[in-house]
Amino acid sequence: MRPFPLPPFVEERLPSGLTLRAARWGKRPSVAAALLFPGAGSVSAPEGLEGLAEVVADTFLDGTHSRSSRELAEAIDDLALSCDVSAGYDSAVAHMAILERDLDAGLSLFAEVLAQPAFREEEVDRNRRRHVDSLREQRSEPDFLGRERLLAELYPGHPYGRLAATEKGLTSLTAADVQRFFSSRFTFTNATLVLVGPGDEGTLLSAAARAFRTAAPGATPAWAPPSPPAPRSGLSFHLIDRKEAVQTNLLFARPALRRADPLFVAAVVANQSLGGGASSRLFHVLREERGLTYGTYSSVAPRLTAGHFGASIDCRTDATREALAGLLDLIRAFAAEGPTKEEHARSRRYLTGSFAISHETPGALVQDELTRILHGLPEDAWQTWRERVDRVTREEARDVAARFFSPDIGVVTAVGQAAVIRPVLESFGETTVWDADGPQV
Amino acid sequence: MAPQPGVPVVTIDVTYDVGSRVEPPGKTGFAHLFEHLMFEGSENVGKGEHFRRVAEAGGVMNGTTSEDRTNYFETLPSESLDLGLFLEADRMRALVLTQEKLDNQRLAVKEEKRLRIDNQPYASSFETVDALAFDCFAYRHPVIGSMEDLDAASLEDAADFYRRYYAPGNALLCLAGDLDPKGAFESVRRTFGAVPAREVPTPFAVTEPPQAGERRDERTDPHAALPALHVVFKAPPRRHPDLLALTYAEKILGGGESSRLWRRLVKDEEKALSLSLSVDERRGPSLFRIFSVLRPGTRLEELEEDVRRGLETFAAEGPTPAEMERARRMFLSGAVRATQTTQSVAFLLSEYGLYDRDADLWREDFAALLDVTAAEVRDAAARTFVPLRTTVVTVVPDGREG
Repeated sequence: MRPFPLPPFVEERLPSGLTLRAARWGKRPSVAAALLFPGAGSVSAPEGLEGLAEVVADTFLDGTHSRSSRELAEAIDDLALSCDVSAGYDSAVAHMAILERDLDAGLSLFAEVLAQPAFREEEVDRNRRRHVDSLREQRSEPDFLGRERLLAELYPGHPYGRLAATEKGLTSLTAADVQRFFSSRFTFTNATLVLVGPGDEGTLLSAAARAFRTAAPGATPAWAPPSPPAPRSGLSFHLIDRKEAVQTNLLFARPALRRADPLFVAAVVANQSLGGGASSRLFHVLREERGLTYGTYSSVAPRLTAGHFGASIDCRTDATREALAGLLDLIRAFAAEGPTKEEHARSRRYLTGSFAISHETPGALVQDELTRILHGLPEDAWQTWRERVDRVTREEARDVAARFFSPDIGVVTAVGQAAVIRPVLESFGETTVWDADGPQV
Repeated sequence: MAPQPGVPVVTIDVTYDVGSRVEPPGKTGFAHLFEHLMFEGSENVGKGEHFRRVAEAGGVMNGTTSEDRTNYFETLPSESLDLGLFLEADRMRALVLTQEKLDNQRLAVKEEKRLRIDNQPYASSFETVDALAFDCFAYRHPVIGSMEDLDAASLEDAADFYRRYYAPGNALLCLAGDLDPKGAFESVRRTFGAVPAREVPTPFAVTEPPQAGERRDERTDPHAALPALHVVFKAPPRRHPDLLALTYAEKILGGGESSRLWRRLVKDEEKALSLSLSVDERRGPSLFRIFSVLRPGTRLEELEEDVRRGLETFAAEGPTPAEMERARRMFLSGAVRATQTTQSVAFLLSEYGLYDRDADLWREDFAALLDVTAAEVRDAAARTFVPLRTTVVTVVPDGREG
């Protein structure tokens, strides 16, 4: 295996508690940065205020103490600063990218956005209304309908089970809720700013220190990650009736493992053999041999305290039975037998070799570092990643597949014409039918 | 060849001078269907082996078909350059076509069409726009084609297409990344040098009569929850000075949260849920596109009037100096970010190399872009945003919403 050394991160901590981490990477004069706020994601929104984290994240860009929404937008565009704040499940992240020559001005504006947001009532209301209307548009997309039901059934009653805001939550939340969520969750005490660019790490750190030196620390957020969801049993089938569908979109998922689980690396290697790409088993059999689909893939999707394994296939309506049986049979066989020797060797080579390809840009290193920090992974997690992938044995891949991929438990969702495919789903197991607008039929 | 020291990876791109524009009526979707067949094996590479060998080398690969060209690429750890060159040369020299492969990929492509177009809200309305805006068949029909034409595609069609368009003289090979130019040239000679010359097709020209009046259509979309609006203008081909100027109009009117139309219609007045502007740059006539999904309660006529009035004002008054400066900085920053990967560099050079026979011409164009003046932007907008060149397609949800 050819060495591919990643740069070390240099760290500094500001009096506010904000941790700065910088690394030198890339040849083009552009700097990528991101500020991670653990605990500021959707899992922290109080019950009944679903959508709060998303609205807070959006409203950062709608004005600061000294600038209106429009003035801030102009200042951002004047610098060609790429800047956004987004809420995930376990954290919120603010991303920025800027030409290296404009780094000081870009970081200064980025700090203003994050440390002095105005959260004016009219802007909160505006974003709330937009989220409500967006939900309506999203419900016309088959992928949204499938994932919404899949997560709700996979993590019942758990914050990981919510794909998007809810109309009820959005209409209930107020500007005061937004301000409260900001004050309690977006504090610099346990936040980390990661910067990667082609220049010296010291220069990045001092530019960041200058920009964020006046930011107040805020209270230390008392945040406990969500408890893991309750274990589930059996395989349940859910059909979302999209009457005008010309295709069936099938998803399967089952509980698997969290990112920090020591078996995660073996799960990634095993998944690559089953459904990681065009050379994997699902794609080869279901598309290249049987012509059932354009693409079929599987993946492991970790959260902070849980995670799931999932697979997907889209097929013509009259091939729903064959596609679903094919998908579940292949997963079942893989969970029982694991990868072949050839598949396993190819997956290890693919994952170790393509690592460099996915790390051409500073932004890719920023993303990896955020993952490492959020999930509490060791300092050398990415430096040692390729070696750890390479060391996974075929037996380990088989064992992890047996434990985490088997479709004996989990959820299957089908988005399509219920009038045609309901009997098909019912032949697999008891099926709950849902309206595309949400409620159970 | 663009050596870029840094991360030890290399992108190999082979772009063929064939896109959906060459398809005659009855053969739509064929260029793209054929792209799928190029992954199905050649004389020394079995079915499925292309995917497997690239993965085994730690590489990624794909192909894309547009109206104007088809490209194939592999990004590989740089020590596997020879593998990528071998795979590309082998399928250029001796692709193996069978009825079974054609039937299999026909099914995959039809499913792709359902996935991307037929089963999605708004997607088919983009096909309506092209069919209405263009007179030439080359650009009137969609790259993905029609189900009927895909069903009718035969093995003879495939063999003929390969013979006609996949000649080495009709392709451009571009390498970008961690390369030793001398060694790489030797590898290219060793692999592609063995591909015999074949007859090269005569250059394809798109001729489009001037549009003589506004065109309109209304579509009912069974998948859409909210109405949507397309306002589209016929524009000159790529590299035309007006098209460069129109990229400023795109940024100033719809690029970024401070842009004029986006700010007003999406943010301030809350009439649109989304509003995107784009210059759909083509070798033949291009399109300046505006697409917007409406907020509930907004009438289509009202939004269209707002969009058209915004464009008229822009065409009459032109951009402000601050807007020009902002756009320039966005171009510069965008260009730096868009050339961070070997793949994006290879794509950029391939386009100029194939279309203009001069891969380095992008530098000239980029310098020209930064030199565009506010008056040139205003004048290009005034020439383009005129009723005679306009195509409007409205999308109305069918059923519960709307």
